[in-house]
Amino acid sequence: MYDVVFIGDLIESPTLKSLKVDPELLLRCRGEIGDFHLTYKDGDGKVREVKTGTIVVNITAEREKPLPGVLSFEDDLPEGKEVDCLIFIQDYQTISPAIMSNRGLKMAISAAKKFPEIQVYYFYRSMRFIKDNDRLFEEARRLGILFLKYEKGNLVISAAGEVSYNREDISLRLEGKILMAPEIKPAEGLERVARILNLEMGPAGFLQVENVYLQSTLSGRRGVYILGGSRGPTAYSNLVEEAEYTLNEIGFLLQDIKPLVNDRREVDDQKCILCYTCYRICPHGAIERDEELDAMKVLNLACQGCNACISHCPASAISIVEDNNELIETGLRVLMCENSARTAWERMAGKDRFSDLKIETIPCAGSIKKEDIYHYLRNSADRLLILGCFEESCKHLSGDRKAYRIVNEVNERLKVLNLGENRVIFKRLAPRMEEDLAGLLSRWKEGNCNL
Amino acid sequence: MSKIAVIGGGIAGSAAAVELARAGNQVTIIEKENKLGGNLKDYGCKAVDVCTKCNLCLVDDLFSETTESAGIEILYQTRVNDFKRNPGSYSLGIEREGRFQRIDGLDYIVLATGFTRWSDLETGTPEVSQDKRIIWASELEGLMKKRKDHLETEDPLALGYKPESVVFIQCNGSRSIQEKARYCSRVCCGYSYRMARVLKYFFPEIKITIFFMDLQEGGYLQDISFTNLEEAGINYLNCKPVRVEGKDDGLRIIYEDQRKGAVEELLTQLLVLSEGIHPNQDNEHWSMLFNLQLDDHGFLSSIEDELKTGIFLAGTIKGPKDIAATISDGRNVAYKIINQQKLQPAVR
Ligand SMILES: Cc1cc2nc3c(=O)[nH]c(=O)nc-3n(C[C@H](O)[C@H](O)[C@H](O)COP(=O)(O)OP(=O)(O)OC[C@H]3O[C@@H](n4cnc5c(N)ncnc54)[C@H](O)[C@@H]3O)c2cc1C
Ligand code: SF4
Ligand code: SF4
Ligand code: SF4
Ligand code: SF4
Repeated sequence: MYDVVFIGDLIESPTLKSLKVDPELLLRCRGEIGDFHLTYKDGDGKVREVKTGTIVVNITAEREKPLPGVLSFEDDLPEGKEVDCLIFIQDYQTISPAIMSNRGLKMAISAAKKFPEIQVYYFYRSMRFIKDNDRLFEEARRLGILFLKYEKGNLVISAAGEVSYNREDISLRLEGKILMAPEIKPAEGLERVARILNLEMGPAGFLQVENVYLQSTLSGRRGVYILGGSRGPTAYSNLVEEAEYTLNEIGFLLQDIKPLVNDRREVDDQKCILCYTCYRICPHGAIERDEELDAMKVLNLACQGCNACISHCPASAISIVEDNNELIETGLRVLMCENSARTAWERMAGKDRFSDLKIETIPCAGSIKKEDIYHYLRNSADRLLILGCFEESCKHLSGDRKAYRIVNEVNERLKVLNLGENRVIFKRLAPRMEEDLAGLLSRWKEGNCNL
Repeated sequence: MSKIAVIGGGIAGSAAAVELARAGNQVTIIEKENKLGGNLKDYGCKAVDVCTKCNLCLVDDLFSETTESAGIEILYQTRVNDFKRNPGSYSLGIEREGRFQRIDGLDYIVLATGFTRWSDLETGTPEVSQDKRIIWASELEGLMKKRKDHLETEDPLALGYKPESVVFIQCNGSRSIQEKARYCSRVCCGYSYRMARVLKYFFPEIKITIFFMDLQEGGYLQDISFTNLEEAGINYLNCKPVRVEGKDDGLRIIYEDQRKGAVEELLTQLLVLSEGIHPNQDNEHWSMLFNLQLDDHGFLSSIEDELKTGIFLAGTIKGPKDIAATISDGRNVAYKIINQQKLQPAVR
C-alpha cells in the first residue's frame, strides 16, 4: 500500500511512501481516496496492480520553440566566441508565463558574466515577477544587459535570423545568437491519463478544469492531484510551494479519511440498467461499476453529495439512504445552492421582506430534477426560482450548466403546453452578492422575470 | 492535542485555525480589529457573465466555520506585546481593552498578521486626497457595489456624474524605489483587470484604459494577455504615466507612448490607482519578539526550521500572495503541525 503514486515525475517526501508510474504504462484506475487500485505495466512488460491512498499527476509539459533554428531559454548557453551579440526574446507569440522570465533572466545574467565583451540584449513585452525575478531584473541591468520593451510589430525576426527593432527614437539591426522563451504545451498522452483517471480535461489540452474551488492542485476527484506542467503554463509559477502543500495535505488526509457528506447514496442493483449515465455525469469520479453485482456503485468517500446522479439516472436506481422527502407546499419557491446563494442569503439584511417566499437550500443547482420541477409546479407552486453559481465557480464543477439546461428545457415544454412562460427561472449568484440577491428576490416577487 | 495561538484573523489565520481545530487542537485567535477578515472584508464579486476567479467564493465559508467552531476562541481588539519561552511551553502577553493578560501553556504560535494597503499608509500618493476624481481601486469597489441602484441613471457609479472614460494606473506603491517597494505586488494586475471587465460589462459605453508597467499573471490558471484585454474591449498602454493634471473638464494624463516615442495625453473623468501589498508595520516588532528575519522589503521569514521552533508564519506576512495561495499557505501550516503531532508530541 502506497501513500501516493506519481503519474510522471516523483517528488521525494520523507514521510510518504511513494511510487512513480510512467504515464504511458498506466492501464487502469479503480477505487477511491485511501484505496485506489492502479494497474500498470512495469519495465519488464508485466502487468501489476498496486494500491495507493492518493494519486498525483505530475507530467512535465512539452516545450515548443517559437521559431526554428533558435535556442530556447532552457538550452545550454552557446559558446560566445563566434557571435557578435546574444539576443534574448520572450513574449513572442503570447506573453510568456512567469517561469520563463525567471529562466531567461538567469540565463542572460550568466551569459553577461561569462562573456563580458559581448553585448546581451533582452527583448520583452511584459516582465513577470515571481520568486526573485525582481532581484534578477535589477542585477541584469546592473551587468549592462540592454532591456528593450517591444510591442507587436516593432520587433521583426527575418528568416535569415536578423533581428530588427524599430521605435521612433531607436532603430536596431542585430545579428547574433537568438535565444527565445519556449511555448509550454500539454504533454502527449495527457488526455489518455485523464480518461483512465476519469478526469475532465481543462483548457488548451491541459488537465485541470478551470474552477475556483479546484485551487491549487485539486482535480474534481477526491485524492487525485494535478501538479505543474500537467495543469498549464502558469502552474509553474508557484510549483515549489504547491508541491509542498499538496504532499502535506496528503499526509494530513491519509491520517483519517472521513466522508464529505453525512447521507449516503446507493444504487439499487435490481433497477440499474448499466447505462453509465451516472458514471459520466458525476463531477467527482465517485461512481464505478461493481463487478460482482453487475450494477454501478457509489464510492462513498469520493461522493460530494451534489445529487446529480440521482436526478439523471433514467431508471431511478439511485437514492439517498436517509431520504426525507417532505411534502411540497404552495406559493413562490426559491431553491438556493448552499455554496453561493445560501451564503448571500445569510449575509443579507432584512430577510423578513421575503417571509412569504418558501426558501429551500439544495446541495447544488445541478441536483435539480426535471420531475421535481414539474412536481413543484403541479402542486400549484406558481413560480420557481433556482439560484446557483457562476460558471467556473460551481463547487461541483458543472452544476450551473446542468441547471441552466434543465430549466430551459422545462420552460420550453411549459410554453408548448400553454402552461405559462418563465415560470421557472435560473439565476447565477456569488456568496458576496447579498445586495444583488435582495434586489433580485424583490423583483421576482413582483412578477418581474427580467432579473 | 495542543494549545495554539494564531495571531491575526485574516484569511491565512482563519484557514490555519479551522484545520487545527478540526484536528482537535485548542486554538485562540488574537485579532486586533473587532471582526475577522482582514484586508478582504469589503471586496465584492467580480463575475461578468462568467466567474472571473477573484477567489472570494472561497472565503466566507471559512470565516463562518472559524466563528462557529467549538475549538476556536477569538479574542478581538487584542494585541500581543510580550513573548516568553517557559520550560516546555510558550507564553504570550496580550493587551485587551487596556488590560494586560497572559496566555500560557502554548505549544505552537502561528503568526498571520498579513499586509498593509498602500492607501492606508500615510505616505500614500498625495493627489488622491486632493482631487475627488482620483480614487483607489478599493474605493471603486465601493462605488461598484452601489451600481445596482444606479444602473439605468445618469450617475451609474454614484459619483455625481457619469464618466465617459475611466483610467486605471497600475503599479502604484509597488516597483518603485521612491515608494520604498521595489517588488511587484502580484495581485493588482489581476484585480484591476477584473474590475475593468466588470465595469465594461455593465457600462459598455464607458471607455476604459489601463496603464501597465508589466502585465502579471492573473492568478491560478488565469493568464492575462494583451489579447484578453483586447477581447474584453479594454484599451491598454504599456507604460507608467509621467504626470496627471487636474483640469475642469477632466484629468489630463500625460504619458510617453513607447511605440511612437512621443509624449501624448489622455483625458478622463475618473482615475483609479492600484494598490500594492505592503509589509505590515508590526513586522519589525515581530522580528524582534520572535527572532525572525526581516527582508529588504520588510516582509518576514523564519530563520530556523519552523517545526523545531514551533513558530510559524502564514499568508501575506511573508510577501505578496492572492487569496487562494494564502488559504493554501494557512492550511499548509496547519498540516505541518498536525503531521508532526502524529509523529511526536511537541516539547518546547
Ligand atoms: C487592492 C488589492 C486587491 C486584491 N484583490 C484580490 C483578489 O481579487 N483576489 C485575490 O485572490 N486576492 C486579492 N488580493 C490579495 C488578498 O487581499 C490577500 O491575499 C489576502 O487578504 C491576504 O490575507 P492575510 O490573511 O494574509 O492578510 P490580511 O488580510 O492582511 O489579514 C491579517 C489579519 O491580521 C490582523 N492583524 C494585523 N496586525 C495585527 C496585530 N498586530 N495583532 C493582531 N492582529 C493583527 C488584521 O486585522 C487582519 O485581520 C488583493 C490585494 C490588494 C491589495
Ligand atoms: S451525489 Fe454527486 S458526487 Fe455523489 S455520486 Fe452522485 S453525482 Fe457523484
Ligand atoms: S444512471 Fe442509473 S441506470 Fe444508468 S448506470 Fe447509473 S445507476 Fe445504473
Ligand atoms: S470567484 Fe469571485 S468572480 Fe467568481 S463567482 Fe466567486 S466572487 Fe464572483
Ligand atoms: S501586479 Fe501588476 S500592478 Fe501590481 S505591482 Fe505587479 S506589475 Fe504592478
